[in-house]
Amino acid sequence: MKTLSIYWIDDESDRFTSFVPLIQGTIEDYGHSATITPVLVTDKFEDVLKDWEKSPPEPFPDIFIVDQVFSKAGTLPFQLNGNTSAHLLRRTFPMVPIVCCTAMYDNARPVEGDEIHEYAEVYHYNQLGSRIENIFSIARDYQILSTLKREESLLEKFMELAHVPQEERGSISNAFPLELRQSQGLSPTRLNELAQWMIGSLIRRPGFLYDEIRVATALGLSLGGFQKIKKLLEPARYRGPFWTESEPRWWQVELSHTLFKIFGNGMPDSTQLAGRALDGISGADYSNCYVSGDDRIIPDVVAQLYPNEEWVAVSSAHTKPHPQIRYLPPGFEIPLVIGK
Amino acid sequence: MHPSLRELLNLEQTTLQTIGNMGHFSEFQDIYVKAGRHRSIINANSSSLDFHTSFAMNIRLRADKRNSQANRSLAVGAFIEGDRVQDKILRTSYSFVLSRYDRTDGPIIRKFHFDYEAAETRNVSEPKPSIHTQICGKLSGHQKALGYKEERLSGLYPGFEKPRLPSLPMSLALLLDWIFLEFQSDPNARKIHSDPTWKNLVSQAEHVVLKPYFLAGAEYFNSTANVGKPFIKSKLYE
Repeated sequence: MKTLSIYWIDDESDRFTSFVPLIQGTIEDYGHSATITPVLVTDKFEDVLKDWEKSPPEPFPDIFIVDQVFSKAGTLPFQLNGNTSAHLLRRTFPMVPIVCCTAMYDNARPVEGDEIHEYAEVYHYNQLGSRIENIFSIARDYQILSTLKREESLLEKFMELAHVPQEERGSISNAFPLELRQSQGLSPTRLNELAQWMIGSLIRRPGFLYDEIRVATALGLSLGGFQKIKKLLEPARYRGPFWTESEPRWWQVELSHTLFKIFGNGMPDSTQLAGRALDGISGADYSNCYVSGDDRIIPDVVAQLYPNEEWVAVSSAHTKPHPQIRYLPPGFEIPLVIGK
Repeated sequence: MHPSLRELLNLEQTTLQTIGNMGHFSEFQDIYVKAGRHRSIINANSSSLDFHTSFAMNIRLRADKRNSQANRSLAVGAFIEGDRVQDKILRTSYSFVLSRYDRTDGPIIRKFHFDYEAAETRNVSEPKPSIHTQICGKLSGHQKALGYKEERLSGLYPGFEKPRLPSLPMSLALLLDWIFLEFQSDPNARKIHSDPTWKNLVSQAEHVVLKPYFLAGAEYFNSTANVGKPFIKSKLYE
């Protein structure tokens, strides 16, 4: 891969000092290289945007990281902030992804959707160290999505690029945002909406794809036990756009297919029993119900220790639906919390 | 007379997927949330199904006083056991429990299960129709886990296992559709029942489950070899 060109737009120069070496070093750890061009937002930022409109900067950007609030920049026209700057950037760089890195969530007020809708993803500065691979994957795979031709169906192209299992294509089609489902070809707006849906819904919400703790629980294993047999499940691994090693995902429907290829007709009735019967797995690797601790009970779901963020394997008998979520688009699972 | 194991499991997989995707079912939260996890409950490689849920419906009965609250808890279960190699159903049991109130630990007013047992799994010394409805019966472990209590069932005499009634084959969609047809006082049930997606699913279920039964029946009655041989005794109490 060519050297990734990242442009960082921020009103605080201290952040460049802190984070630029971190980002560069982490991307090098993945075997790639990156140049990071800091762009300090001052009251002359409008001129920077005008210059770029006339003539793109060199090297051409692969991704923009934008701060949301330019409080230190002085007076900017139309109270320009990260999101409105992103809108202007998109007009000049329609196929370049834009992500936001902000301290905005420190405020008590909720974040409004129209403050962030131009971004493929939003991170808090505290998270940045663990999100560099996400930024890298967005820069990498936005380019893949942007190759869609005018006459191609966006939905069909997505199915092909994401390697959607055949038996999920109907369900994913129903879950696909309506305005994207009806699109031919790819406008800059649609590209960003597709990226937002893939990152924010398809990959992050359990249902079609499962994260490590959910896959481990589906296989009747602890996270430690799962690490021992993880490689066996490579056929079920999601390697479509925006995949990462730090947040791996697996196609849920492919888990049983992969296990069936291992066991054949002798496959145990449940994926939990099948996972526990894999070579190399012992009783010490089994999952344990978080509530009862009874090793006769095989946890069948993952639930949140609400309102904490932690997720644990537990018997569904000890759970209830998330109190704030009553409905999700088709194909996604209502999250559970420990409750009964 | 019966679908294959794969045909029935595919039908139930489609049923759970449909329930999890239909917004109207979100008002029956437990079944909606559980059906949303259909991929972990049943899949293309499953050889069995064991699904149980409990939710509340507005079920107004003649004995209810006017303007009294009529929400009642009901439980629905689907159990399928089969031989994957022969692609054959060995046992199915579709259960229904209705409580008097909107809680599972209250008095139980009705309890049925709609069973099928393949001939080779049955106790030959106890004649019973292969497809039958059993009234009451003991509480299963799943029903107890949902909160139902043995002592709330005693008025229905759970230990008396007979008579069993010869009946039609069942599936989860057919069971739910029957419930929605019977208890039309619930507005969500009416919405689901009139939804084209639901109607298509029920029609599909009837094709998978009822069509082979009726075709076998028609074939039996059309055959001169069966004149003088009662259908129920010969085909159901086989």
